[in-house]
Amino acid sequence: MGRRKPDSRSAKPDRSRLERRRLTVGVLCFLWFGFIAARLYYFQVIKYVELLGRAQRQQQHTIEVAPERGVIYDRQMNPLAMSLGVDSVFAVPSELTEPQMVASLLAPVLKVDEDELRNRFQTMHSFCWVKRRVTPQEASRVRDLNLKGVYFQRETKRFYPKGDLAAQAIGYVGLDDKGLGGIEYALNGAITGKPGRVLLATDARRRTFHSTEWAGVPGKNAVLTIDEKIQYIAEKALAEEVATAHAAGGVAIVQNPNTGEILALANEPTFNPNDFDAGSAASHLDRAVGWVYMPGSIFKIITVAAALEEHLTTPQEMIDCQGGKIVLAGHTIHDAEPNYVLSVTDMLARSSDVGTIKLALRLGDDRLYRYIRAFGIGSKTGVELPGEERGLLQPPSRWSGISIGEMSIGQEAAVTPLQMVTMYSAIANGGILFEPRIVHDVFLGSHHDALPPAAGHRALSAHTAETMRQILTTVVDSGTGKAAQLGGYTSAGKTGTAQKIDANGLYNHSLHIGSFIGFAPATHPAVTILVVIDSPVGAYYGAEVAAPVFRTIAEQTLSYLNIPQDNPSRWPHTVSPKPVKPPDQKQDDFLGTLPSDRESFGAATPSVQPASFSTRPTPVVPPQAAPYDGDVSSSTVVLGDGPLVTVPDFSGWATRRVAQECEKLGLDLNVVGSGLAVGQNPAAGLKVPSGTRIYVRMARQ
Amino acid sequence: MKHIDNSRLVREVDVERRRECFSLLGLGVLVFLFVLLFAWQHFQCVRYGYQVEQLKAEYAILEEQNHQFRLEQAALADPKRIDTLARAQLGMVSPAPQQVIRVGGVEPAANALESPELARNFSVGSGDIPHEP
Repeated sequence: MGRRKPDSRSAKPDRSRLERRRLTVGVLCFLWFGFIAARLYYFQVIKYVELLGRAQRQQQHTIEVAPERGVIYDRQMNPLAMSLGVDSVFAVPSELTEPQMVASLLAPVLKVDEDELRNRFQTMHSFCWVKRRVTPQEASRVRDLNLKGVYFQRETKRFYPKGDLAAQAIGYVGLDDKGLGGIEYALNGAITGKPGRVLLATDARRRTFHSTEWAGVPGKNAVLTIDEKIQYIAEKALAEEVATAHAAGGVAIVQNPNTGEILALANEPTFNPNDFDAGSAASHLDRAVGWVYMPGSIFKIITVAAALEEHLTTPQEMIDCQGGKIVLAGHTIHDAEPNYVLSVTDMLARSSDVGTIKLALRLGDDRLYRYIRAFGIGSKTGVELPGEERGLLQPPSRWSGISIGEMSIGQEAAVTPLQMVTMYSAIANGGILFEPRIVHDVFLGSHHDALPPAAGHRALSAHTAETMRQILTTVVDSGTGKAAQLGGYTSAGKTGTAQKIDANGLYNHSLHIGSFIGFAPATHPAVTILVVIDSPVGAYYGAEVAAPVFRTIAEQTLSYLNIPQDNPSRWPHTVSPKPVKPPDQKQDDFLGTLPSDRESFGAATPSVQPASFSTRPTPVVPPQAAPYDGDVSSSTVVLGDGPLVTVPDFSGWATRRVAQECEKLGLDLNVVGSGLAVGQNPAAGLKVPSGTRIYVRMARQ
Repeated sequence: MKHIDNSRLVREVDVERRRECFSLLGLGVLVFLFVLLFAWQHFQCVRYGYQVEQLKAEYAILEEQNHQFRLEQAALADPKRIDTLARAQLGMVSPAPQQVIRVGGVEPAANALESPELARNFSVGSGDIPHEP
C-alpha cells in the first residue's frame, strides 16, 4: 500500500471550514467581550451613581455618636451627676415587612401602646422611635426577636448617684439630655459636647469590618463649690426639723464667708433628679434663689450696722424702748415682750423692734435704703444658679410713713435666702460683700475655662463689721439666739420671725417664717449658715425652729472641716445618744436601690450592675444587723491618731506611678480622668493621716 | 514495505523558544503570585478589619464598664447610705464636740476650704481684701 497523494479537492473545503470556525469563534468572542464591555459601561458609567448609592446604603451606615455630657463633681471631686450609654430602639417603617405584627411583638416587650406604635409605623416612612433609653433587659429581648427594620441607637442617660442630694442645685435633664434645672441648665452649653459620627462598613451578616470615626467633642466637667458631706449634714438637719415642725418647707445654706463659696444648699421638700417627674413643682423650686420672703428680725442688722457706720450710735448707747411700743404714722408697733432702756447690743440681743425703728429714724429713708442696697438687697447676687429672684425693695420715693419702721425690722422688704447669707458673710469676713459662687471650675482634660474671679465690694468698714460681730455674739450668748450656742465653738447670729402675707396682701397671723442666720466660730468665722423654716405648726419662732438646726449643722460642719475649737469650756448641751431606730422611709428607699437589690443595666456586662436611681424597691436589711448597745455618752473619739504622711507632688506622673506611690504611703487614691496628673487634692507637701483620700486629676497633655 | 527508522533522529533544541517558554511561565507565576499576594492582603485586611472592630467594641464595653463602676462607687459612697448603715447596723451615733480629741491629724490648710487646689482667686472691686481674723 503506497502513500496516498493528498486530494487537492478535499483539502480546500477543510481549510475553508476551519476558517469559518475561526471566524465564528472570533465573532462569538467579540460579541462576548462586547457584551461584557457594554454591561460594564452600563453599570460603571450610566448607572454608576445609582448603584453606588444602593451599595453604600446596603454596606455603610453613618451613625451619630451622642456627645458625652460632662460630669458634675462636688468640691472633693465626688461625682454628683454622670452619664452612661444606654440603648434606644428605633424602626425604619419602610423596611418592615409586616408592621402590624412587629408592633404587636414590640409593644408588650417595651411596654408601649400597641395602637400608637402601629400608627407610627403607618404614618412615618424612614424613621421612628419605638422607645428611647430602654433598660438592658428590654434591649436584650428586642434583640432576641431579631426583627428586620428594627435597630438600636446608642444614647446616653444621666444618672445622679447621690439621689436627692443637692437636687435643686444640680438640677436635672430632660429626655433629650438638655439641662432643665439647676447647674445642668445653667451650664448646659458647656456640659453638653458636640456629637461625633461613625461610618460603619458592614457585610451581609451586618457585621462591621471597617469604621471611620469623626470624633465629637465631649462635654466639659463642672466642679461645684458644694461639699457633699456638708450638703448631707444640712439636708438631714433641715429635713428632720421640717418634719418635726410640720412645716411647708425650708431652706438651709452654708457658705464660706471668706470667699463667697456655697458649701451646701439644702431645700425641703426635695426630689430625686433620677425620677424628676415624680417630684412636685414645689420640690423643684430652689428656695435659696427662687423664693422671696420677709426676713423679719435677721434684717435688723442692716439698720444697726448703718447707724454704727454713720456714727449715729455706739454699742453701749442706751436706747429707750418705751415699754416695747412705738407709734409710727398712726400705726402701733409692738415688741414681742416689753422692753425698756437697753443698750444697742442688748436691744439687738433681745430683738427689740422699737429700738431698731428708733435707730432707723435717725438714719432716715435715703440712708437706710442706701445701706440696704449696699448689702445687695433688691438685686441679684450673681450666683450661677438659674431662676434667681431680686427680692422686693421699693425706693424711698414709694415708701409710706410706716415703711421706714417696717423696713428696718424686715417686714416690708422681701429677700432671697441667698441674699441674707451673703449679707451676714460680709459681717463675718470684715465687711466685704462677696458674690456667692457655686461653680468652682469648668474643665475638659487639662483645659480649664476662665471663670471670673469672685467679685466683692466693701459694704461696711472693718471696724463696724467687727463691732457687729461682737453684738451678734452677744445675741447668741445672752439674747434670743441661745439655742444656737455650739459645743466647743463660739458662734454669732440672729433669730428672725416674720408673718407671711396671705393672698389678700395682709399679714397672716397664723403663718410664720422662722429663721436663724449666723456664723461660727465667731472669732474666726469659717462658715455662715442660714436656716429658714416656712410655716411651722406650733412653735414658730426662729429661736425655736431654726436655731437648733443651725447648731446641728454648725457643730458637725466645723468638726468635719477640722476647725480648731475656740471655746472648749462651753458645752451647752449634754450628749444624749438617741436610741437607735430603724432608718426613716426615705433612707430605706434609698438603701433598697443599692447593689443588693438593684436593676441591671449592662447587657454586655451583666456582672456589673450599678444601682438604679429611679426605682425604689423594697429595702433589704441584713438579718445579722444588730444595734450597738454600748454606752456612747462616755465614749471618746480620738481623731488623727495615725502616722502623718506628706502628700507627694504628682504633677506629670502617670496613673500607675501615682497608684504605686499612694499604695506605698497608705493613701486612698481616687483618680479622675486619664493621662498624666494635672491636679491633686490635698495639695503636695501637706501632712495628712495615713488612709486619707487623695484626688488626682489626670489629663492628656 | 520499507521500514524507516527515525529513532536516531534527535530534535534540535530551540533555545530561543525554550527561553521564551520559561520566561512566559515565570511571568505567569509572577502574575499569579502577585494576584495571590493581592488577594491575601485584601483578605488579611478584611480579617484585621473585623478584629479591629471587635477590639473597638470590647474597648467600648470596658469603658462603659468603667463608667458603671465609677457610678456604682459614687452611689455606694453616698453619705446618706453610709450614715444609715452606720446608725442602723453598727449602732453608731454622731460624737458631740467634747467627745472628740484630735491628736495630730490633718493640718488646717489641708481641709477643703483652704486647699490650694480648690482655692479660688478673688478680686475686690473696692476696698480691702478681707483681713484674716
